[in-house]
This record gives sequence, C-alpha cells and structure tokens, in this order.
Amino acid sequence: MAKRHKSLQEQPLLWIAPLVLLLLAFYLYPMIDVARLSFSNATLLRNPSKYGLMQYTSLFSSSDFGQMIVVTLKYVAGSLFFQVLFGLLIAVLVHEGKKRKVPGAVLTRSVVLSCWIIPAPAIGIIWKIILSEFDYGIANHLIGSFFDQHLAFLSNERLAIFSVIVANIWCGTAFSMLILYSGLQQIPESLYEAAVVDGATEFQKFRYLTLPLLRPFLFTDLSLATIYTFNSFGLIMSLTAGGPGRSTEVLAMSVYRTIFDRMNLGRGAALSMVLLVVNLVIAIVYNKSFFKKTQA
Amino acid sequence: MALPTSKKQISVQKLFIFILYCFIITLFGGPVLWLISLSLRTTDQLFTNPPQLLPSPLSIEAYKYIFRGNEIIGFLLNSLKVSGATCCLSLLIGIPGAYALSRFRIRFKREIMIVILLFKMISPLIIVVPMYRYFSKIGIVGSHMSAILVYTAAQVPFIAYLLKGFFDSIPYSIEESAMMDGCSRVGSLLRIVLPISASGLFSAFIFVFLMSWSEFVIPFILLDSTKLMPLSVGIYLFQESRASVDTHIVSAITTIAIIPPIILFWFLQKYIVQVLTAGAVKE
Amino acid sequence: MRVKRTFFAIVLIAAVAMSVWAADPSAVWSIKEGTNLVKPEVYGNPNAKNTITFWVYRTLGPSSNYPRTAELLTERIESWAKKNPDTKVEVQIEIPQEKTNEYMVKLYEAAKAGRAPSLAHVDSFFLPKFLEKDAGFKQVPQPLDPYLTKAELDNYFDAYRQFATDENGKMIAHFGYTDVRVLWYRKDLMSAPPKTWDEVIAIVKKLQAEKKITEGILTQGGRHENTFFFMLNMFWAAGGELVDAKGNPVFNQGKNREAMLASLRLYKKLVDQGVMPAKVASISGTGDLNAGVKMTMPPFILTGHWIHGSLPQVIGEENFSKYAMAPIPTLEKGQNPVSGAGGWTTVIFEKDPELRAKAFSFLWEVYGDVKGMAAVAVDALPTFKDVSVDWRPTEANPYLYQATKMLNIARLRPAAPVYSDISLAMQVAIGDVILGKKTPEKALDDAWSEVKALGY
Repeated sequence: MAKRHKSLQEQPLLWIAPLVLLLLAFYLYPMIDVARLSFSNATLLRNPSKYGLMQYTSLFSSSDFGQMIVVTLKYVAGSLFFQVLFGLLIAVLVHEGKKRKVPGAVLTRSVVLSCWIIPAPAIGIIWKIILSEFDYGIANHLIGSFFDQHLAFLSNERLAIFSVIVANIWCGTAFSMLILYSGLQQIPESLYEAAVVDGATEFQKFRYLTLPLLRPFLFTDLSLATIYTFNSFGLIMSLTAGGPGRSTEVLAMSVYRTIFDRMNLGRGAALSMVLLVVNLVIAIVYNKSFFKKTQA
Repeated sequence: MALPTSKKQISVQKLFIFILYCFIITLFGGPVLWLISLSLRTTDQLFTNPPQLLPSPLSIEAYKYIFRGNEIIGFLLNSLKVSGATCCLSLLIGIPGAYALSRFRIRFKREIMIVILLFKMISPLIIVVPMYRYFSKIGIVGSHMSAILVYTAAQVPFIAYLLKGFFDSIPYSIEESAMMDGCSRVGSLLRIVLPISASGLFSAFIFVFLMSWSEFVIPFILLDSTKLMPLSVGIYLFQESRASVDTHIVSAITTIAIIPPIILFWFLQKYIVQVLTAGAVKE
Repeated sequence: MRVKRTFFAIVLIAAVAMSVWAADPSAVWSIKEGTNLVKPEVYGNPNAKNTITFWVYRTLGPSSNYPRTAELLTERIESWAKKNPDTKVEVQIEIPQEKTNEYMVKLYEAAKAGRAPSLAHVDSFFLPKFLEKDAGFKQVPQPLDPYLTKAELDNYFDAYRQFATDENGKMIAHFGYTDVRVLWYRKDLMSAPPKTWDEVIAIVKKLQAEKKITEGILTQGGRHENTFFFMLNMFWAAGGELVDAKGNPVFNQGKNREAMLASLRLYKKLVDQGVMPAKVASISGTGDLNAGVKMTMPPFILTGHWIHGSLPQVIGEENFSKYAMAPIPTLEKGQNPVSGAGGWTTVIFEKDPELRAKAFSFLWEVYGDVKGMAAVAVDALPTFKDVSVDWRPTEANPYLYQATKMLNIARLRPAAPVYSDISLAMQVAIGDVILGKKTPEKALDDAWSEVKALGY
C-alpha cells in the first residue's frame, strides 16, 4: 500500500487560493471603499470632507425611503408568490403531460424556459411595448375589444407597480418552473404507483406526496428568487425607469439612480449597505427555516 | 383496490392538459413573437389601429438600418468575447474552489462560505465607480480585461456554490478507489468528477454567460472606446427618438440581442434541466 | 456522451482562445468601411503622426440620425482632414442619446483620473460641474481665448458667451448649438395663442365643452431634465431665481419660493381641472410625447422647437401643419415670457499645447465657424449672431426661422455646479405634484432639503 503523504495537490488552500485572491483583489477593496463612503458626504465629484452617520439618518428620516421600501416589498412579495405558484403549476402540467404522452409537453417546457433566458432589459422592453397605451399596445387593444376600456398600465402609478410585477412574474415563472420541474423528475414513479394502489386521488397524491418531496426545491427556488428579485432592476429600468414619479422605484434601482443621476456617492453607498443587510437577513431567514424543516 | 382510470377519463385529462399547453405557449411565446413582428415594420405600420399580427408587406428596413455600418457585428463579437472569456475564467477559478470546499476539510470552511456568500450579495454596479478609480490606479482600466475581471469576481461566488452542491452529490468513494489505483487528486478531478458533472458545468456556463450579456453600466464606464463596447452598450446607439420614431428599430435590436442567448439555450436545454437537481437539495 | 464531450471541448477551447485574446489590448474589432476620410472611428488621414481623441455625441456627428446633419458634418470633417494631413481624430466614445447621465459620470471620472479625451461634447446642463473646485480634476476644460479673435468672441450671443466663461473671464467651452422651449398650439382651433396660463385653461375648457378635443395639453412630466426645464420658463418669467451670484441654491427663499410654488400649483391646477392628463408623469422622452400627440391631437404641446424633426413622421405632414410655435405662457398677465435654451458644448481637455491647437482647429472648422454652425444648426439653432441674421425662412425650414426669433427671449440655465442637482430633485417633485402624491409645498420642501443635504 503506497503511503500518500500530503503533496501539493492535497493542500486545500492552493485550490481555494485563486478564488479568494480574486475576490480580495477585485472586490474587497472597492467594497470597503463603498462602506467607507456610506459614512461620508462624498459626491461623485467631491471627496469626502465629513464623516459620520449623516447619510443614514437622512435616509431613514426621509419619507421617500419608507415609500421605496414599501414598493420593494410589494414587488418582491407579489412576484414571488405568483411565480412560484405558476412555476409549480406549469411544472406539474409538463411533468404529467409527459407521463401521459400529451403532445406539446416538451415544446411547452422549452418555450417557458426561453423566457428566462431573455436578458432582463429586453424583457422590460417587450412588456413596455405590450402594455403601451399607443396603437401597438396589444394589451390595451385586447381589453378595449372586450371591455371598451383603456388602462394606463405604465403611467398610472397604481397600475405601474402591477405592470412591473406582471413582467417579473413572466420571467420568474420560468426560473421557478425550471427548479421545480427538476424536483418533480426526482420523485420516483414507484411512489405514485403505490399511492394509486392505496386508492389515492390526483389531489391527494399531489398534496401528500408531491408537495412534501418538493420542499427542498421550493426552498431553493424561493431563496434564490428572493435574492435575485431584491437585487435586480434591469427589468424595471427599461419598463418604467422607476416611474411614474417613484412608484416603481425599488431599492436596487434607487442605488443606481442615486449614484448615476444624483451623483451622490455617499447616499448611494448607504443605500447599498441597506441592500446588503436586506440580503443577509433573507439568507439567514431561509437558512434557518430550511434547517428547521428538514430536521422536523 | 385499484381504481383504474377509464380510457375516456384519460383522454379528457389529456385534452385538458393540451388546451392548457396552448394557452401557456401563447402567453409565453406571444410577447416575443410580437416583438419580432414589430421589428419587421416601417414607421407607418407601427401605428395601425387595430394592431395587426403580421404586417403586410413585411419590411426589413429596421434590420437594414442596424446593419448599415457594420458596427453591430463588432458589438456582437465584443459581447461574445467578453462573456465567453468571463465564463472560461470563472470556471477556471470556480471549479478548484468548489472542489476544495466539497472535498477537503478546511478550517473556517463555514466562515469562508459565508464570506463568499456575502460577496455574491453585492451587485457589481454599486462598486463600479470605486472600481474605475482603483483600476485606473493599477493601470488596467479601459481594456476588456477590466470588465472581464469585474464580471468574474461577481460570478465566481455563485459558481462556487452551485458547483460545490454538484460535487457534493458525487459519492467520494468513486474518487477514493481511483486514487487508490494511483490516480492523483487533479487527475481525479479531471477524469472522474468533471465528466460526471458535465451538465452542471454547462449550466454554470449559461448562468455566467447570461448575467454578463446584458450589463450596460459596467462596460460603459470601464471600457475605453466604443470599438470595445459589447452589444448591451451598443444597442443604445441605435435609439434616437428625437430624430424619428424608432420602436421598430428598438424591437429589431432587442431581437438581435436575445438571439445568441436563446441559441445557446436551445443547445444546452437538456443539461440545464438536470443541473439543479443535485445541487439544489444539498444546500 | 460523445456529443457532450465534443461540445464541452469546443466551448472550452473557444473560451480559452477568447480570454487569451482578451488579454491582448490591440486585438480589437475595427469597423469595415470604405477608404474615405470620415470613418466612424477615425477622422482624417489614418497614417497621420498626430492623434487627438474625441468623445462625440452621435446626434452631432457624421453618424447622426438626422440625414442633413450627417451629410454636412461629413463635408466639414473632410475639409478639415484635407487641410490637416498630419493629424487624425480618434473617436473613442460615441454617446448614445438616452444615456447622457452615465456618459457624464464617465467623463467626470476620466477627467479626475487624467484620462479625458482631447475634446468632447458636453451637454450644457452638465458643463458647470467641471468648474467644481473640490473635485480634484486632473484635467479641466482648456480656455479657447488664445485661439479666437475678438470678433469671433463677440459673435456669440451674450447669454451663451457668458455661460461658457469661467470666473477668470476665459471661455472654456464652445457653445455650439442651442434649442429653445416653446408652446406649440393648434392654429386651426384658436385665433391667437394664449399669453397666460389662465387663457390656456379657458381655451381648453371651451374646446372640451364643444367636444372638439379631449386632452388639453401634453408635455414631458417624467424623469428628464426637460420636465424641470419646461417649468423653469414660468418660474423665470415670474421673477424667480434658482441660485445667487455665488452659485448657492436660493430657489426656496422669499420671492423665489413664491414663484416656484406658483409654478407647481399651476401644474396641480392643470391636472385637477382636467386640462393636463396625469399620464404626462410617464412621458420622459420625445418618442413618448409624439405617440401621445398622435392619440389625441391636443390643442397645446409644451415642448421644444425640435419636434418638427420627428412629429410629422408620426402624425403626418398635414396634421403637423395645424401646429405653430408661440412663447410659453406666463403665470400672470404682464410678465415677460421666457424661452429656456439648452444645447451641447464642445470642450477641449488636451494638455499638450501642439495637440491642443490641432484640437481647436478641428473644433472650429467642424463645429465653430459660420459654415460649421450652419451644418449643426440644420436641426438646431445657432449661437452666433451673424449666422442667424442670414436665417431667412425657406421652405425647408420655416420652423427654424420661428424658433430663431425665440432666441430673443431665450435664457440659459445657471452656470452653477448645483444646477443639475436642483433639476433632479425638482423632476421628482413635479412628478409627485402631477400625481397628487405631495402638495406643492411639501414637494418643494423635500426637494430643497435634498439639495441642501449635498452640502451647498
């Protein structure tokens, strides 16, 4: 038996080194800079001259901040709920359809997944065109022919948030479907057959067999989708640019606007720190509840 | 007692599912088809009332306009280059990292993973201005490399996590027996682990590609010249609503921008479906 | 398995090749073109020994979407190139129309890092920011005085010359073209354009009662500089000032506050009385505005003179001929109307004296002298006195002639670094007022505290 002593290849740090070095060199330094700037009054032009908590106090005491948090929460909650729901429904449909050899199952899966592949800004443009109030706005045309009404999807502030959520559901469903479908594939067919032998209906099969077995996938889906939805704004940017007013300006977009429109580096940095904390909280919440559930 | 579903019940179910399929395909495929339809029009055809699905006659005026200067090809190629290099670099760095996290016992492994997760939560957008200043101090600002490094740094945490999950699902015993037969660690990685996780690698490839394909701000700020700009930046050069109405041009350019990802996707579809299966459960 | 392996191998090889390539800075794609002197990326003799770099606003360059501008500018550049075979102009960045904010960030960062180009187009809205003292710029706009004769300096309209002059009396930018903000009105629906906003409301109500129109006035109310700039005209006409002589914001104090509140209240009144639809809050560009006009053909459009370049294509020449230009109405009778003027400037950052002289010769030949001014001014207005004297109405440009007359009441935005911050805060305020989310008082106060928080 050859003695295996620790060769270079066995040093774990060597394997990890490129990753850690890359992050330290190209991410850590600017990140620390951002943290530092969040405690200053720096603008894009001016170097910081005062340090303190002023950005945070002015942020938390402004009414716009509260509104922005509300908008962000509406956006995330609305999108997540429906995208998981629809993703699950479509995944089940495709899965069951394939089992019964319904034609078009694979096509449906591919078409839905293609929507996920479309870059977010392009999705915004597509939906902007569809929901437009102008002649080429298909949505209004359809509504007009049925209800003789005309909805200002993008320029009415109550509707705008709804439009943004719908567009996000459209692409988020694809992502959820992907994950849940892989989960469905994993469930052994034999379990279903046994259930049928025991006299289970479709609904019972779904509720007592499918759902529990999908739990880890649902959690993965939810946690990944939540983090992604909180951090992205490309879709909103090309759909409404945060408007009308600020009714669709979510936290991530606010960071961008503050830095590039207002050129206020300090405040933008503070906002991004807030975003980071939000992300952390979500990750912790999901991790804790996931572990609890699996131990149950 | 088994209750067999009658033939009729099965057909009804199949029909029901089929109808739903048609509905779903319309809902998800329709918008993209509408986009393409708009791209094949002239300015007057844009504002027809009622809107027609297929304009007649079809016009490729918008595409001719976009391709008139050949710049678009340059943008496309830049995009492919930057995204491709990012994919390659992130895999090169991410694979060893993921492997180590999966197989080795490392002190502070949990802490390291949390820190890596932390990096994943900060969008590179936020740090692009400090990044520009930092890069210009060390002299690499302006070239494709600066953008590639930023993208890679942003994607590598995600890749490491994804692949770690994948590697975790491959039983160590396979590697052990190979190594007892004299295979080295690196050899085991290359010859055993990677081939098995090929679908995971493909999906990692697609994720990274997608995320870097549509970035505007990072390349715009970091790159020195319009010649180097990727498509995500170049498309704005074709929009000019002050001189004329350009919805058909915007549609055409968006269509062009979504074609490469869709092609890549249809190629690798099968693998993506498999990917999160193993990685998902082993969080 | 075979297919997987091959595909994986191909992808891996391609990606490695591309990254090796990426490391080589000279491996860039060049654009194929004919052997003319005006290529999109290089102007002039490609083998010239001197190189100056240029960041060009696409609309004002030879690739412009305005065909006449593109044609004329190409001519001007060719003529310069022939006279200067020893210098070529490398076009580094082309500025897309929708992304001017990001472009300004890029230019500021470049100037701070010493990487600014030899010359660049700078939106006049942002030019004052380069005068900011604490910014630590390594490169600043260079004075053009050494290269201009007194006659040439005097040829600028006063407002433009003043705007581009820094505190040392040096002209640091060539204010090359301008545009004005006006009220377009349907002359088929009224005998004379209104002079005050009360008249506007009265006319609209009458027309609505006669069922001749639905919406009364359309304008830009979204997140865009123009949203604020359109309102500024009434503010100025009412005697309001945004900043004091030192450049500090004063728009919420005393008489200025009253004028600003009156303007915001006007917008609120217009929306409440059904004259202006609340949806203007989502119109942030000319494209949206044009499409909105097409839908309802309103009697009034508050926008710039420039829509004659795009609106006829959307609503047709016949419909467009129903509209004519008038000065923007004032809040009260007896106030003198003002037409806000903007435009782009060309700035030289080059430090090397020889190259700077070359950069200037390019600037002047293409964008500067009388012929060059006519070129750019095909779809915009000149800032030179003697060019506009020649600006007679012709069939090709009846609107430009009308717009040129507006230059008499034109007013530029204050050349203070804080202006862009005021505008951004006020754009949000206006949106909030239009949508009824904040009272004019609260919206104004919030905008004020935002601006003050920046340290002014």
